[in-house]
Amino acid sequence: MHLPRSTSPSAGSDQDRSGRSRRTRRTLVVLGLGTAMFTAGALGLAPGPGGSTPDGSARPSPARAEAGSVAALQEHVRRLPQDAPGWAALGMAYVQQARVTADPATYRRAEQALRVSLEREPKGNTDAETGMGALEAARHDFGASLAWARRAVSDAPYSSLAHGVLADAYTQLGRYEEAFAAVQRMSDLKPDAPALARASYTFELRGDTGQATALMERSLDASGTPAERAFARAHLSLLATESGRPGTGLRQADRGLRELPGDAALLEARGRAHQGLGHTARALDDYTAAVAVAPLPGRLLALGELRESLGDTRAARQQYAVLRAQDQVRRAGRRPADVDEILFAADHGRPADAVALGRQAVRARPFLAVHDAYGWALHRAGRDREALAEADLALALGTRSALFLYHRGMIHQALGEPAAARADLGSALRLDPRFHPLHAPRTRAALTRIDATP
Amino acid sequence: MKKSSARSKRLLDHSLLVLGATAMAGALGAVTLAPGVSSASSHREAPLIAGDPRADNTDVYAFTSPDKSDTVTLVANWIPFEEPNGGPNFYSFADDARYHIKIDNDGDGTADTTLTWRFRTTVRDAANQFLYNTGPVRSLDDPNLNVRQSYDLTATRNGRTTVLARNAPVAPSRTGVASMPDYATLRGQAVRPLQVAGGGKAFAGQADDSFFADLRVFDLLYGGNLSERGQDTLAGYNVNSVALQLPKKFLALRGDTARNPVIGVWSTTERNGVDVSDSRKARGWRQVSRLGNPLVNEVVVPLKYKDAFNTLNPSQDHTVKPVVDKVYDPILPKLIQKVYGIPAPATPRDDLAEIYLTGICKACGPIKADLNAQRLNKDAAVRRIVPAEELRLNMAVPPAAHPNRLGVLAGDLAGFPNGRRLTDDVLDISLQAVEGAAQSGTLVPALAEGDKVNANDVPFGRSFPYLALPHVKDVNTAGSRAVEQSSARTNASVAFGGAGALLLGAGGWRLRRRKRA
Repeated sequence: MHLPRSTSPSAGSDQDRSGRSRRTRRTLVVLGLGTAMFTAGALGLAPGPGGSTPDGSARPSPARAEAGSVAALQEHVRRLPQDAPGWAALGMAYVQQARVTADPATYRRAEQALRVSLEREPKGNTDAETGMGALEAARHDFGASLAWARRAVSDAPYSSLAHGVLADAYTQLGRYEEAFAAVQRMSDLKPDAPALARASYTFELRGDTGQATALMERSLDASGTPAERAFARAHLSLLATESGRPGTGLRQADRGLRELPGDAALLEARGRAHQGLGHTARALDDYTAAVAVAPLPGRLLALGELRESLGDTRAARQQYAVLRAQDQVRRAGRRPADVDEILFAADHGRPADAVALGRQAVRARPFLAVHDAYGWALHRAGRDREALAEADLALALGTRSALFLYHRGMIHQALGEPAAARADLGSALRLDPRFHPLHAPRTRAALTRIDATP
Repeated sequence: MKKSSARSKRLLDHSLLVLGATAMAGALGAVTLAPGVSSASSHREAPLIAGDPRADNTDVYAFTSPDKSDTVTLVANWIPFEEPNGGPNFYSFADDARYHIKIDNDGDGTADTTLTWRFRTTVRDAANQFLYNTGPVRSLDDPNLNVRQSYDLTATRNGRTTVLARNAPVAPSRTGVASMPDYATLRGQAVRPLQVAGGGKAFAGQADDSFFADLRVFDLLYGGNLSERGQDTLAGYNVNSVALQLPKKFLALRGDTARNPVIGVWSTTERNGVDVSDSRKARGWRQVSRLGNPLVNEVVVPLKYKDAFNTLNPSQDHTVKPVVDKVYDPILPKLIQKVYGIPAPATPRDDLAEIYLTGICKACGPIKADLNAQRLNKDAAVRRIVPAEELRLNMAVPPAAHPNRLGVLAGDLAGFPNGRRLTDDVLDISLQAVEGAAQSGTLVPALAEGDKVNANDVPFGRSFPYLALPHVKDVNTAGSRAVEQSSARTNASVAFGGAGALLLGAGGWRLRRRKRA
C-alpha cells in the first residue's frame, strides 16, 4: 500500500521533520524486529511444560472477531478507496485488534489507514481524529492522544466515543477531575459497555471496589461482543482477587474463558486468582499460556517473579532475559518505559537505571501507577524522601492497591517511620494477603521486624 | 504477501545490527519472545467500539392490518445481522434496556402514547447456562429450553401507565431444525392477547430481517457508483422483533379515528445512566437509539449528526439547524447528479420536509395531497405542530388489495411514506423521493431500477405477526456474498462517531441502520 504522508497535529520545522524521519526509520526497524519476534513468540512456541492449552480445548484466536472485521473493512476500502470514514473505521478496527493481540505491526497499519482517512478528508474528520487519539493512547503517547481527542470532541460534541478517548488520555495524564467529567459526559451520551467500563474504573481508582464491581457487572451485561465481555470478566476477576477474594476472581475468569477460550487477559487474571489461592502450579500454567499469546512485560514479570518465589531462579532468569531484550527494543524506539519495566529494573536490574526510566516516564505520563513505580525506583536507589512524595501521589485518590501500599510502607520504614510503615504494610496484607509472590512475604517479615523493635 | 515477508526479513537483518547479537541470542534462547514496542500492561485499554446491537433499532413498520382493517400493526426490529446457526449464538433482548414504540397524535413531536417493553432472562438450569437448549424444544415451556425470556408491556399516556401484557414469553432464537423441529408452533405460542379494550395481540422474538435492499446503492455516498446492485444485503439474516396489533381507536387522538386518523410513530432504546460521583444515585434513562423513517441518515440527516440525532426527541429536531437544513438541501441528489447527470431538484426541498418532518398535506407544502400530516387531525392544535422526524400513518386509508412495492409513488396510498408495510421497497421509494418524484408525480426513469432488489428473500405471513420465520442456514457459507455481507456487518460493529462533512458514512449497511456506535 502506498500511503501519502499527512500532517500531524503539531507540524514541525524542516529540521524536526528530518529528525522525525530518522526516528521513523529507526522505529520501523525496531517495529520490524518486534513483529518478527512477536510472530515467533506467538506461533513458534507451545505453552510451557504442563502448561497445556487452557481447558484442553482447541484454542481459537481471541482476536478472531476483530480480524473478521478488519478483513471486511479492507474489502470495503478496496472497493471504495475514497471513503474517508471507511478508512477511519479500518484504522480503528486495527487499534482494537492490537488491544487484544498486542502486535505492534498492527499499530502501524492502524496509523496508515487513519492517515489515508485524514488525507481524504482533512477537516472535521471525527472518526479519524478519534481513531488517532485511540492509537496514540495505545502507544502510550497520551499528550498526542489528548490533542486528537480534543479535536474530536470539538468536532463532534455528541460522540460518546470521542469523550471516551478524551477520558482515557486525561486519566493517564493524571488529570483525574477532567477524566471523570469526560466519563460522565460519555456515559450521559451513551451508557453502553465501554462507558460503563470506564465509569467502573473511576471508582476503582478512587478505591471504591464495590461500586467499581457493580458497574463492571453492568458493563458485562451491556456488552455486545465477546471481546467486550472478556474485558469485563477479566476486570471483575481482578477486582475480586485484588481485594482478597481470589475464589470469586477464579470463578469470573473461568466463566470468561468458557466464553472466549484462550483470551490472554483472562488467562492472566485466572493465573492471578490461582496465585491468590495458593495454586501455584495452575498459576504458572495460566501465566505461561498468557505469555505465549502475547508476552507483555507485566505478564513476563509476574511469571518470572512467581518462578523466583518458588526457588526456580533459572526459569525466572529466562523471563527476565526476555524483559531485558524487550527493554533494548524499547530504548531503540525511544519510548518511555512502562510501569512494569520500571519495576523490573528497580527489583531485578540497577535501581539507578530504574530511577532514570521512572523520571522520564512520570514526566510523559503522570498517572498514579507511574508515580508508584518511580517512587519504588527512588526507594531502591536509596532516595527515600523523594520516593515518599511519589508514593503519596500514587495513593492520592485512595486507590486500594496492596502493591502501592506495600511500596509506601517500605519507604516509610526506610525513613524511620515505623507507625506509618505498619499502617501501610498492614493495609496491604489485609487487602490481599497474597498480593505478590515475593513482596507479600517481605511485607510480613517487615511487620514482624517493626513489631520486634522496641 | 510475498513482498511483505521479504520486507520483514530485511528489517530483521537491520534489527540485528541495531540490537547486537548478544541481546538477540538472549531473546531467542528464552522461552518466549518479545513483542517489541507493544506495551499494554499497565494502561487500561477498555473497549472503545461499542457493539451494542441489542440497543440498535433497525426498522420500524406501521400499517393497517390487511386481514383486520380496524387495527394497526406496529413492528420494530433490533439486533441487525443475526447469523443463523452461528451457535452458540442466541440473541436476546437486553434485560438492562428499555424498548419503546412511541406515538405522536398532535404533531408536537412528543409521544402521546409510549409503549414500553422490559425483558427478563431466566435460566432454567444455571449449571448448564451456556446451553441454550438441552434437547429438542417442542413448546415454549419445554424443559429443554434452558434460556428463556419474557417481557412486560406497558402503555403510558398522560403520565398514567397501564399494563398491556405481563410475563409474556419471547419466541426463542431458532437454533436449528433438530433442536426446534416445529418452529412455527413455537412462534404461534409467543403470540399473546393484550389487555386492551377491543382486543389486541403482541409478539416478541426472533424473525427473518424484513428489510430488503442492496445497500451498495449507497456506495454513491462514499465515492462509488451504482455498478454493483441486485443482491439483498440482508438476505438470510435474522433480527429480534416486537410486533403489536392494536385497535385504531386505541391509537387515535381522543380515540376518534374519524376526526383524528393520523399517527406519528418511532421507536427508541434507552439504557440506564450512571453517575460517576456516586453510581448509586439515579441519573435516569438515556435514549441511545432512535428510528422512525427508514434510511433517514442516508437520505436526509447526515451521519455527522447521527450521534446527536439518536439522543433527540422528535420535538427537538427543529432546534438542531444542521439536521433540518440537510432535509431541505440533501447531499444524495447532488452526488447522483455528479455521477449520472440526473439534475438534482431545486432547493429548498419542501417536498422532503413534508415526507420526513411534517407529513403530507396540501397546507403543509408542495405535494398536492392530504395524506398523513398530523395537521389533518381535527383535534390537533396547528400552532403546536413542529417539524419532527416520524413515520406517519393515516389509519383511514384502507389496506390495498394488491399492494404496490413503490407505495404512494405508484398510487398505492396504503404504503410508504404513508406508514410502512413489510413489502414496501423503501430503498427504491427513497431514491425516487430524493430525486423529487413525490413532488413531480413521476418516477425518475434513470433510477427506475433502484437497487434491483424488489422484494424480501422470503415471503411474509398473511396474519399477525406477518414476519417470516427466522432463517436456519448460516449466511456466510453461501459463497461470494459473504464478503459483502460481512462487510456490512463489520461496519455494524466498527462504525463510530460523527462521519465526515461530505461523505455520509462508512459502509452501506450503516445507511439504513443509522446508529451503530
